[in-house]
Amino acid sequence: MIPTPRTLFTLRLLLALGLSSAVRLPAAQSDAKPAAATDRIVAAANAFLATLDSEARAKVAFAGDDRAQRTRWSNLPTGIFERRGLRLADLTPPQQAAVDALLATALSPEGYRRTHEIMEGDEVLRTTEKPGRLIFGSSEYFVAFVGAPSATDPWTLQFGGHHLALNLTIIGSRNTIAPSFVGAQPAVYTIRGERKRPLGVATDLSFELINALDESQRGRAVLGARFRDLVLGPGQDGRAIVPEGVRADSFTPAQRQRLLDLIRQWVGVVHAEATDAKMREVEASLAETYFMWSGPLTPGSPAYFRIQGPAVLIEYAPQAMGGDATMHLHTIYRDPAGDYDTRRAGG
Amino acid sequence: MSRLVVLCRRFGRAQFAGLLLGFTPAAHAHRLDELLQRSFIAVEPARISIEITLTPGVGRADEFVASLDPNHDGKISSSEGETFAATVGGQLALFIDGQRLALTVGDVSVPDLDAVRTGVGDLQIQFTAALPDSPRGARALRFSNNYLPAGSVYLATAFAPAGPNIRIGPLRRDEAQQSLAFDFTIQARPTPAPTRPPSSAALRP
Repeated sequence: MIPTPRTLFTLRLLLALGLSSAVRLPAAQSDAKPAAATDRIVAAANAFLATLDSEARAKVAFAGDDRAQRTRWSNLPTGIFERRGLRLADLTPPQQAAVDALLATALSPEGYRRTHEIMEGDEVLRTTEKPGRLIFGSSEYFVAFVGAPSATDPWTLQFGGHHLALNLTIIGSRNTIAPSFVGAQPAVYTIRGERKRPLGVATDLSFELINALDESQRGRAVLGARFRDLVLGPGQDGRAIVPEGVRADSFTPAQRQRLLDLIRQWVGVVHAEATDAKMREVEASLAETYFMWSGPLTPGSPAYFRIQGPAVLIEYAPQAMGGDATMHLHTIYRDPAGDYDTRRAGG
Repeated sequence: MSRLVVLCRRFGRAQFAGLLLGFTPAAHAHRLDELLQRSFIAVEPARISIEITLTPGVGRADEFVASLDPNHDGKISSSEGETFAATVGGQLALFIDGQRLALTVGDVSVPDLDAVRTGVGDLQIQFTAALPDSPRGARALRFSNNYLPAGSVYLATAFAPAGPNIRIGPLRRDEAQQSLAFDFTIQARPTPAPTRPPSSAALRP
């Protein structure tokens, strides 16, 4: 279904009311052709570009073969990591609105909501952290294009800032959001009377899954070593590590469904058509996918987990840096078959 | 009005803090007084490669810079980098089938010192060790890292093998990940050096 202005408005209204905050990512539901999504995203990208003058357009656009820009993303805030592209703070309200429309088109409703909640969380940091070299805030997020928006040629939409790096690569009808970094600090906050947990559903699903395993499965899934950071976080493109944990070929149908639901929390950041296509790949190789855990099993505890298979790699790592690790989360989503869809883009 | 516009305008106001209720300040935004040490081990047909990446937090930067730049000229010469790498290498131990192997320092990638001082500088060192011949099928690898254990955070893992003739068994670590051990096999057929790690699809620890 192509979202009309009215449905988008309704969606935003629901989001504003917070009604979606406890909603899990939707199951596969669309029969629309993937190309339709690409066309919509290209149109939204071009609508944003049309709001820019030539100087701003030069800042936001990078050549399709600019490998340095393609890999220039991080979880770190402004001040210690230099992003290129256009910063939201430097855009006019109509230009910001065009970026927002682009995100609403490219992302799923849940991905869009989470993006805003991560940015809100950074605004919380701005008001609570001591001023210094690190610059926080919801306007410290950047948009860039690697390659010109096209319905046929490869290009990547980059949107990111502190605790957020979305890299949506589009090659014709094929769209992938890998690699992407999604984090949260604070992981729980209350704003305008509403409690927010940008990664709350994913966190809860992970504990449901580990506790749904039987003793033998859990014995294989849980490692004694502590993982205090991501192994394949930013800067680790193109790497493959030995999988660990329990293989999902030993899972019951119910356990497999829980695993799929958990994976969908990352895969499903992007719009429904791309999510559905990727989830079909994930399901096809689910038996070869591993689930690994490190840390306590009690819900709400700081625990690391990793999901690794032919079609997906996800890591979730609470960060214990002088405080409650459950309040500072880092996660990464990668495609072992090729981040940025390199298997099709040719490198 | 879009959510981004609303977000940017709303948070432009000073009273944002007043909108927050029940918020407990979080942990530090970044690793401050710890040294992150990532170790990746690759099993290749004739050698073992170890890649160590050191990322000191802001609170460890001065100590780290002093070790890297002993003449305090603000630049890291190749000899200073090699000396530092040798110091790190002296605290590493690699055993194959119980035999300790000599490590050779390879590439050393030194970060900008300003990046180190802000807690985002990655110093990467490559080590290699020739793999002694053995008639045994299964080989046992044991690695340990004792470089600056006080205040360090360790991550240690193995790269997926570059070809189907190398198989790596389950990884075993201590709790802190200062040590890593696993068994592996290499079939007789030679495997070309990898240009890019393969998918983990065919692996089974």
